[in-house]
Amino acid sequence: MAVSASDKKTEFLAGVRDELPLQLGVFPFGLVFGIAGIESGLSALQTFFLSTILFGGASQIVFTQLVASGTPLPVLIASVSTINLRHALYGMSISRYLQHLPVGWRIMLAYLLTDEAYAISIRRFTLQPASAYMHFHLLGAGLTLWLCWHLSTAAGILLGATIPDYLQLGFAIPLTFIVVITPLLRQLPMLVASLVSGTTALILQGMPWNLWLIIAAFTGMIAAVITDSFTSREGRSS
Amino acid sequence: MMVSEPFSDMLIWCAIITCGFITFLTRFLPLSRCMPKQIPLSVEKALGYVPAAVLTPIIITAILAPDGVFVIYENMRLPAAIFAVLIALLSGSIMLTLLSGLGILWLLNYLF
Repeated sequence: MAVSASDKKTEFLAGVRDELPLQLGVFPFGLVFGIAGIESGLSALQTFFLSTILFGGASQIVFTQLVASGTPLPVLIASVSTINLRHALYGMSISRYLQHLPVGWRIMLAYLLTDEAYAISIRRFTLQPASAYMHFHLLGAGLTLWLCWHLSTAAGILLGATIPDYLQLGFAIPLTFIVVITPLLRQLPMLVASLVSGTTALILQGMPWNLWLIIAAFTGMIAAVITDSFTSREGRSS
Repeated sequence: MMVSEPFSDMLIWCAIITCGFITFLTRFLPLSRCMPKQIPLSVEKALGYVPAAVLTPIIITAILAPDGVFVIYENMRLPAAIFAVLIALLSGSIMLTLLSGLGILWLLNYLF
C-alpha cells in the first residue's frame, strides 16, 4: 500500500507541476474577470461565486457582458451554456481514462475539467505510460487551476479599476493556449484542424448564442479526419 | 438586442446556478456511464483533434475579435500573436511566450 500511496502523490504532484506554468496566463485572466464582474453590476459575492459555480473563464466573461447589456435571461443562459459545450468534447476524449472510477471521482473530475486542466492532463494520458492512479494527475492540475482562478478572481474584485485597461491582460490566455497547441501542429491533420476551425470561427463570429465555437470545433475535427484518411491511404499505396 | 430593466439579485443568482448546472452536466455526461461503451473508430480519431479544433477558435477570436467584433485595422494583437507563435515554436516556454507576447503588444500600442 505504501507504494501505491506514493504513486498517487507522484501523479498528483506531476499534475500540479505541469499545470503551474499555465497559471501565468490564468491569473491575469482571473483578474480581468473579477474587474469585469464588478463593472457589469454584479455584486462582489456574485462575481466570486460565479467562479465557483460556473468555473469556466470565457463563459464567465460572456455572462458579465450579457448582464451588463441587459440581455434577456433565457438568451444569456443559452449563450453561456453553448460556449461550454466544448467541455463535452473534452469529456468524450478523456472518458476512456476515467470511465472505471467511482461516481464521486467522476463528479469531482468533471467539475474540474476546464480548458487548461484538460490540455495538460490529456498530454500525460496519451503520451506517457498508463498508471492505475493517473487520474490523480488531472486532480492535481484541476485543483491548481481552481485555486489560482479563485485567488485571481478575488484579486480582481478587490483591485478593480486600479488595473488600467491598456495592459490588455485578457491577451494572456490566448498566449498560453498558443504554447499548448503549437507543438501539436507538426502533424498535418492537427494543422488542418487548427486552420479550418480558426477560419470557421471568424466567419461565423456573428452567430447567435455563441454557436460559432462548437460549430468551428466540429468543422475542424471533420477536416482533420478527412485529411488523415487521405494521408494514411497514400502511405499504404506507396 | 433587447434591453430590459437591471436584473434583481435573485434573478442573477438563478441564472448563475442554472448556467453552472448546465455546464456541470456538459462536463459530467460524457464521463457518466450513460454513454455508449463502444464508439466508432472515426469518432475516436476525431476526438484526438479536440485540442487544436477547440483552442484555435478561442485563440483566433481573442486576437482578431476581442470584443465580439472583427477588428483587423490597427489591431496590434495580430503582430504580437504572430511573434508569440514564433517564440512558442522556438522555445516551447510559456513564460517566454507570455512575456514577449504581452511585451510586444504594449510596445506596439505605445509606439502607434
